[in-house]
Amino acid sequence: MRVLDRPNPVQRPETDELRLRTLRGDREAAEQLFREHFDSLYDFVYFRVGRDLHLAEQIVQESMMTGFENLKTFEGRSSLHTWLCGIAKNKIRAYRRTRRPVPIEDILEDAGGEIDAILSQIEREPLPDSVLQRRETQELVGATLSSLPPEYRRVLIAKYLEERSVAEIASASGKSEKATESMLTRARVAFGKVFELLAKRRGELE
Amino acid sequence: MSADPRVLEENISRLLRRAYVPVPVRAEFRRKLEAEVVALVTDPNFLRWRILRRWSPVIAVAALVMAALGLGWWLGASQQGDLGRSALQHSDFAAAGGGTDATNGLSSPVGVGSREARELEPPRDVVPKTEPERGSAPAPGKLALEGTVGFEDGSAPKEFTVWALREDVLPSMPSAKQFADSAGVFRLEGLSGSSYRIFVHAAGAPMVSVRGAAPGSDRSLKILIPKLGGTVRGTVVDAATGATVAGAVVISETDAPAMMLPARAMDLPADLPARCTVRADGSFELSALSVGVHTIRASAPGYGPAFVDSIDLTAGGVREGVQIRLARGAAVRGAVRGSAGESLRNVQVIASRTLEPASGRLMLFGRAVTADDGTYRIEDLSEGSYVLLVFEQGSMRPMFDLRYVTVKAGETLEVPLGASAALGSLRGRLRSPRAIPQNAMVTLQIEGSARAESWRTCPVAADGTFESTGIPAGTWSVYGTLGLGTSIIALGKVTIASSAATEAVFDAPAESIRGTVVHASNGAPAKGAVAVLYADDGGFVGKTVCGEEGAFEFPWISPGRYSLQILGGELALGHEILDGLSVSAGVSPAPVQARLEPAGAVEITVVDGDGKPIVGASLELRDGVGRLVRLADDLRSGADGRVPVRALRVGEWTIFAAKDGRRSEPYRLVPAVTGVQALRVVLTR
Repeated sequence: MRVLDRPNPVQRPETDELRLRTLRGDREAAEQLFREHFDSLYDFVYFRVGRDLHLAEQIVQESMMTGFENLKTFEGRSSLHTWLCGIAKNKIRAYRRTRRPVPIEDILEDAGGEIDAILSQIEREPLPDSVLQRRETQELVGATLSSLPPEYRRVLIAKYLEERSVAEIASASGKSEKATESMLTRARVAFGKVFELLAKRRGELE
Repeated sequence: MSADPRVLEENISRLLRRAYVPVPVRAEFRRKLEAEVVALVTDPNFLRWRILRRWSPVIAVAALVMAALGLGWWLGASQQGDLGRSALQHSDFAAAGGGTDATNGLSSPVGVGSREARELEPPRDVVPKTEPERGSAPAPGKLALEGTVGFEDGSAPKEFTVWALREDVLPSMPSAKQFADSAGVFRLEGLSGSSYRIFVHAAGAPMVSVRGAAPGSDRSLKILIPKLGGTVRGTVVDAATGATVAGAVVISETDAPAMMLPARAMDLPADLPARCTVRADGSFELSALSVGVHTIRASAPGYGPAFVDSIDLTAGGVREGVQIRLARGAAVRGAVRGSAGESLRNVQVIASRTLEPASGRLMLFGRAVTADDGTYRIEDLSEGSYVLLVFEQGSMRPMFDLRYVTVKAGETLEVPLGASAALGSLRGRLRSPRAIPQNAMVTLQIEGSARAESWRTCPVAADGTFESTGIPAGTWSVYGTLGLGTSIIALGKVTIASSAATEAVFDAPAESIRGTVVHASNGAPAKGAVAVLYADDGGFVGKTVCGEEGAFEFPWISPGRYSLQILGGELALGHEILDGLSVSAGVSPAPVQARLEPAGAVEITVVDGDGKPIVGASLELRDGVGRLVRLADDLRSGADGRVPVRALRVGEWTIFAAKDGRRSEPYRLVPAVTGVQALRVVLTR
């Protein structure tokens, strides 16, 4: 079992309830809401700023502060993660106007609008081992995960990296095994589609 | 090939096991950000500037033109009769002393060849050369400021906040950062090469501020938080009825780490360090205030903000019985129209005002966004004079001329903004053999009876042309405005007719009057001293602020004889008068030098025959040879009859008080350099 250096909370109360409790000044809810979204937002930003750690921290900090400061304006038309990523995208765009972007950010920027549209499609060939070992593939894996909704990212990591069973994942999240299995299936499909899109854009995979 | 879920799953499993590299995250960053975010939403004392952050683009541009606010203040000093009103409202304060706290000291126009011409380059991080995109901020500076914070017993606060506020003529946004468990060590980055005022606040301790901090220096700042601060207690009442005003907000302007604050109570940041709410019985208490002279302000819905100035606090000291009287709020309303008469919706209208209390310049503003029909309304303003600016949302440039209006308590002033067919316009040109300085402006001031709107400002192009529209009919004095509003030169007069376009050319001759001002004690440049130029007949010609090397210059001076009054108000230096300066065609006088001596201060209280304070009495100061000395634009007694007067040169003075046609007997005074003397002037019927 791989040991990850970051927490990966699977158990999560209803996000909107957390948001409302946070708005009422509930410290525990605010902490939990932060922890639910920090990793996914951080990953999202990291791959879109050329893996510049310092810049990623800056953008994440600004996005989180802006998001939490304006939490009451969140209307629920998208997920909170999508909303926070939208804030981050704007900040990244503003920053990128002052510098020449590196390829993965270009790809993610270009692909940003299409990722959601691809999530419902499925096409995959077995990947050769040689591909798995490439640095470019590692980038794509990270970039793909960063583009997925947090709950998809969480179940994929829980299942394939932490090697938890569906029963364990279901128990930790408070959902049924059937619902968890369904979530995993959707997560896999989404991963496949986003990965394929990014790979085609870079033109290095068959 | 059709999708195969088993293949997909196998691929994902292999990818995540073999090609997944966790994104590196610094644990410390994560921990601190979590603390900050949680505090933001849960801690009412969390120190954030929500209102100012939202409005920073607007305020940055307002800063550009708010240097022109000084014009209202300065023009008031130069005029007679009704035009003697200044931007300072007499009822707000015991009048401030003369001078200005302008630290840039912009005084000489570009192209003159002066060593200080470079000072007129606009500060890049305040005035961008190109219009920035919506929502983006200017590029940050590159310097850092480091220091340590500690208590008198050697311990360090667990958490504290540091603000860095640029010391500049133009208002700026503070850079703020919280520190926790850092052993009192702080570091602020992204600062420019300027001097800053640093504020430090730890919960429960008095605010501390340090001026003149220079980023990029090798030396680390050491800031000591005193154990004890001062306390102010008092009441807030309705000025008309005497009824208490529970729920009003009281702040210390002195301890607010900002150069501009909203006028309305509801817009004041909830997390200002020195802020309290008036209790049901109308009482308030502000504690843990910094040691020094404070300006206290009260604001409440339906009222204009009111100030009490010159509250001097010592460590552990308590000032009791401060009464703040709130007058009904004034409002400005109208519609903003385009050149074709169309309503301009969703544009911002800002009403801003500069005050000069003894504790230092402060600025406040009101704001509105126009409705679909182009109308706007700005409420809860205090009686006084304001500059009105109109901006498109997200833009940093005013859409129209600056407008200067005066509002009375409880009244609503109708001010149409933008273009108007019923009003006149002026197309003018400055004709000068010298290059027109960058950022030159033209200011028009109405003559005749006092009006609600008395001056306006428009930019001058490089070819000397300018245009001002929507001007009410009347005779207007025209001034050249340089140095982002810190220098003004009289150019002439123009008569504007309604519904007509007037064209005029103003000569801006090549001759000038220039000089330097130094401290008499050691010859050091007296940066920030104010030079005022008068014609031989006593008419106002110009006013400017001495720059870095104490230098000043009045360009565009026509042949004639002139006299200079050099004022060292903010420097605690006495004035000097230089007479007999002669300008001929093609010949400027030799540069002059003024040496300013240390000066004293006196607090004058004007009372009637029964000893009751008289509000709004004006003071006339004459020096030892009987010359009228205008130390400040308008010295008038405040609500308690007091007038602090600074920068009184050692020597004999004769002082008169006057109001409503009455004039007091002369009072003779010889000020001492140290301490503040007191003088009681009786003005009888």
